[in-house]
Amino acid sequence: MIDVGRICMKTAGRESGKFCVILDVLEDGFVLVTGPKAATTVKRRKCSIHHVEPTPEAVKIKKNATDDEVLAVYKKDGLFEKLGVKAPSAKDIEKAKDAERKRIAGAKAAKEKPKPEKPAPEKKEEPKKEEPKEAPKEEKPEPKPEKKGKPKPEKKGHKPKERKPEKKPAAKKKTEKKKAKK
Amino acid sequence: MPTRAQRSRSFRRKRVTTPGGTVRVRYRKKQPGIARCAECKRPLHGVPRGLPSEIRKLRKSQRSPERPYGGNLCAPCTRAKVKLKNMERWKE
Repeated sequence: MIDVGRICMKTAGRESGKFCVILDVLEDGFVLVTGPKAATTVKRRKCSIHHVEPTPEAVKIKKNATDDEVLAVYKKDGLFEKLGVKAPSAKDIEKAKDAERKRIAGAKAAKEKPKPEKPAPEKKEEPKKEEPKEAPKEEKPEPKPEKKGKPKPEKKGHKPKERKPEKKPAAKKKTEKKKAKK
Repeated sequence: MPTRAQRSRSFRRKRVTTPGGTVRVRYRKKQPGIARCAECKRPLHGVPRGLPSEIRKLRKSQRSPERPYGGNLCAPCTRAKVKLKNMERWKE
């Protein structure tokens, strides 16, 4: 049932219950799928066969056809009516395309940015950092053992000391008051 | 004495030993139950458990899964239901 041009329903994830077309059958039980997004909100993506449920409908498309080609074929065969989907207007198609362009541009920018940034600051900062790095390292270990050594015994010693004397005088005072009343 | 409002049984009572050694009763709002699947009754993933006032503060996408029937049916039950709908649609 699962071959290029087969119309399917997605069964998993946020796109479940929505129709898509198979564009390519990949290895390891995966499939390339598209709504297209402008029509059924299913993004062009790789997808497991287990997450796709075939329908009796099929369309004649090339392998790896573009979204525009798929939309044109839908119009010819009257698939929008069969699937109960609104035919997307020119605005909707442009919106979907813009979103993809932005996504691709963002992904490219994210890949390219860190490469030039990383080497540049390292070269400049290396000589500067070395001097301050060495200095604080030597200073830090000195105060740390002092701090670690001091507070531990203080805490251990203080807690019992503070609590016990508070209770005892309170108890004594009460008894004293009672005695005084008597 | 607790305040008048706290005497109702919609509050959870918890006994706490104070630092002074005495036992006191603390009052807290009862926590709602775990969200469960409407069909198989298994507990749902991705649905936080808390008072309505706490859940209102979350983002909308953090309140329940974003798939259809999210927060009502579990994932396997949703898949079965969608498959059934697909079958029924093409029978006619």
